[in-house]
Amino acid sequence: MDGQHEPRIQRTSSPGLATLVVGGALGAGLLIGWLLGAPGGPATGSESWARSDVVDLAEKALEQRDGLERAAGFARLLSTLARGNDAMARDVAPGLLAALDRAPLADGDPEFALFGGWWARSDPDAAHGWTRVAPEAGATSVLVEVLQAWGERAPSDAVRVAQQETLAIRRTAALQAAFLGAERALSDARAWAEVAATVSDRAELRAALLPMLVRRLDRDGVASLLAWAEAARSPDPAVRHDLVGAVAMAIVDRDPVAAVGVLATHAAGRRSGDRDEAAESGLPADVVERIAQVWVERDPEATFDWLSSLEAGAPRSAAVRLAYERWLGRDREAALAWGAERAEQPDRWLDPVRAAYALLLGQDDPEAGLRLLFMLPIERERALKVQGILANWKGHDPQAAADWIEQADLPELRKQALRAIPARQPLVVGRPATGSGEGS
Amino acid sequence: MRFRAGPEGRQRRSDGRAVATVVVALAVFAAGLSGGYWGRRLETSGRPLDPSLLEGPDLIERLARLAPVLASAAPSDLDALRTLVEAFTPGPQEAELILFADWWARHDPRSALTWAQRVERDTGLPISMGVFRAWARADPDAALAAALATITARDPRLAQAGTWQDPGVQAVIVGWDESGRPGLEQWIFETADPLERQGLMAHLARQRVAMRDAEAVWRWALDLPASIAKDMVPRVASAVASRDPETAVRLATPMIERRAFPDLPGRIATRWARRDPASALRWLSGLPEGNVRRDAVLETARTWLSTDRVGFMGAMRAQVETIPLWLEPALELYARALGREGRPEEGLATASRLHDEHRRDYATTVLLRSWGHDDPQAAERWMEAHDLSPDLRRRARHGWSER
Repeated sequence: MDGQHEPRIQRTSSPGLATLVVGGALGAGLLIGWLLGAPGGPATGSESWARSDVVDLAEKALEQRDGLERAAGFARLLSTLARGNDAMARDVAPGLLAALDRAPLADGDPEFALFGGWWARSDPDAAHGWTRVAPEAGATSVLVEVLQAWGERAPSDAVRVAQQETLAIRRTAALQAAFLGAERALSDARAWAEVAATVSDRAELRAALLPMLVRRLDRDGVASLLAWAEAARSPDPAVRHDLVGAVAMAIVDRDPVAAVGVLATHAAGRRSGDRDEAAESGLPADVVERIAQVWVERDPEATFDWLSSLEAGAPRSAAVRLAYERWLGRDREAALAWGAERAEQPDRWLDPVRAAYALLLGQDDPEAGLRLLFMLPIERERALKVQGILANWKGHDPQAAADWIEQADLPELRKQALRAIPARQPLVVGRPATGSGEGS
Repeated sequence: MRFRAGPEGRQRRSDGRAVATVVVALAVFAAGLSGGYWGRRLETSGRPLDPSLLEGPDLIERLARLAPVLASAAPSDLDALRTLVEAFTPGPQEAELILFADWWARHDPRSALTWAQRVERDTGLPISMGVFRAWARADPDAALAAALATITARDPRLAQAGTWQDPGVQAVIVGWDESGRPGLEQWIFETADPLERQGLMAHLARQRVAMRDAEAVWRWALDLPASIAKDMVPRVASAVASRDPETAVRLATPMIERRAFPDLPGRIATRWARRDPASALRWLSGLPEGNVRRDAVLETARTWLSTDRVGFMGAMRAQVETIPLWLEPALELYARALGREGRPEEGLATASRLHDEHRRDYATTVLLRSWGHDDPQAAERWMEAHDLSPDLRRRARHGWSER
């Protein structure tokens, strides 16, 4: 009897068990697959990890060959490590550094910046030292994250250290980062202005403030930014002046007219008695240049109207030149047509426009380009443009170029210099409006 | 005719069923794994984007949100992602924009490049590197052509002489090397201009050492044809030394002992000096005397002075009493640095202790010229009080005694 029952029992229970096993496998597979399918790997998070856990997880995240997956996994891991636990961070930092070193990362990969910022929260000195000696941490993006975290922790120290960078472009980025961090740490606008006053180079200070002000602008709007700037008024007139310039530069992307208005209000304040030495020096060149270059992309005519109203001098000339070049890059046809209309006008403020226009005209019509250039005041920039046109001209029609030099109403010494310019193949940078109409 | 299975036969049949069940279960598990994985990926792609993805001041938090979205995004998500990224104000950091450019370039590198170059112009941040690297992983020839065309459009002269310095070309090298596709080494090694070729080689060396095992890269460089290895091995040595100086020393020691690649000591020690200059100099002290070591000591000391002036001056001050012969090039530098710090008498005292006559005279001349330029009377008094050759006095007075 038992012998007959046993197979029956097996026949009824075995498929059930098999179904159970297969179903379980399906469920487990789906669950694990779902978790693994989360970009960057399964979610993790604990404040009580041992150092080896953290390093293991970091190694797993960093061994990903796909850059997006790797950044996702590593950022997720760092975001789960508890903030404010400096002892834990100092404990795991060497292990994470070693994991980064073993990972298939190229210099400049975001994992280095992520780690630098994370490390600097607990040990900014060590993180900063790393950026100075390790080639993989040498990218500006790493320095920026380190100094931003440092600025949040100790604003004055971060700004001081940022100023020690020797390369100007890197120093500016470092200061920008330090001020972004400082802005989060210093709620009192006056305390913030005191830190700003420790930056001795004024143009550098204005550039350094820009990202921080733009972030405030994004968050709070123009009116709030202006109120904040007013509250941050430094007793130092130079810092006050810089702050206004930096605010105008920050606003210009959003509202160029408002930016110009800020400068005008500041100028009116100065005229009404709030005079100071710094303000007397007029608008700083970097402020004028930035406003001109941003505004010209939206409203070239208004930009040049504004520039024509400014005090004559090198800053305005540079701004006119930069704005016109930006316009040429954006809308060559319109810029050339506008330049052609003004080529013969006597206004001196248009000289930089005429010089740029003449160079382009000279690509198609060297004689006309050179004639226009020789109407301009002698300066190094004009000499370079003359040289450029003649070198190209000699490259494709040497006889015509030589004839022009001989017939030109120039002193012999000058002619000798022009004869000595070597020929080169024309460099096609574009055609003026009078040409075929085909751009470069 | 049917046989009834005995207990063994039933056991075998039962085992067979169990095996089949396990096989089916494993297959179903694998199918479930795959279904779950792709279900999750599809679920995350095409979803409306969280507008706060890039909000907040913390890069870690922003990338922890953005990178997973990019990793699972489909080409149809481009518009939504682009809107989000363009509304983002990056500050001095470009990581988010580079990741987005990398993602876009995987689907449409030419459009991604156009976008990246515009953003680059507006922000000054090197966004197009992300495009070139991703593009080179998929199609290195096209990526390189685009990078070179970008240089040509900027300045045709650079396309012949400065490509190795271009971040776009460097990004192509990284992506090409990551892809494992052939042709990268051939392109670099066959570059005609020697300076250009060596610059590209240096970048390839840095890339390989960063991404691979240093010893394997070292062996690869040594196994290259001699005409290429002579340029490649020193560059690999520099790259290894920048990351791991002790390993560089271990790998290079047989070459240094055979006096192959004479600039290896200087390359390794100057990179080591950025991390631990005292150890780098100590290592050099054990190498055979000669021009190679003298030059390496001088360059290492110069690196130390430029990266940690206070540390260098303190370390050299401690050596002035004994003046080890091998360290003289560094002490000469120290003596001249004292002069630049406004302490010419200390500098001259140090210079007078140098054993090498030419080095001593040269340092003395430089110090006196500089001092005499600033304070001719004091310099003259010092010369009167010291026994100097007429020739050295004449050279030292050059440029200031006529005033």
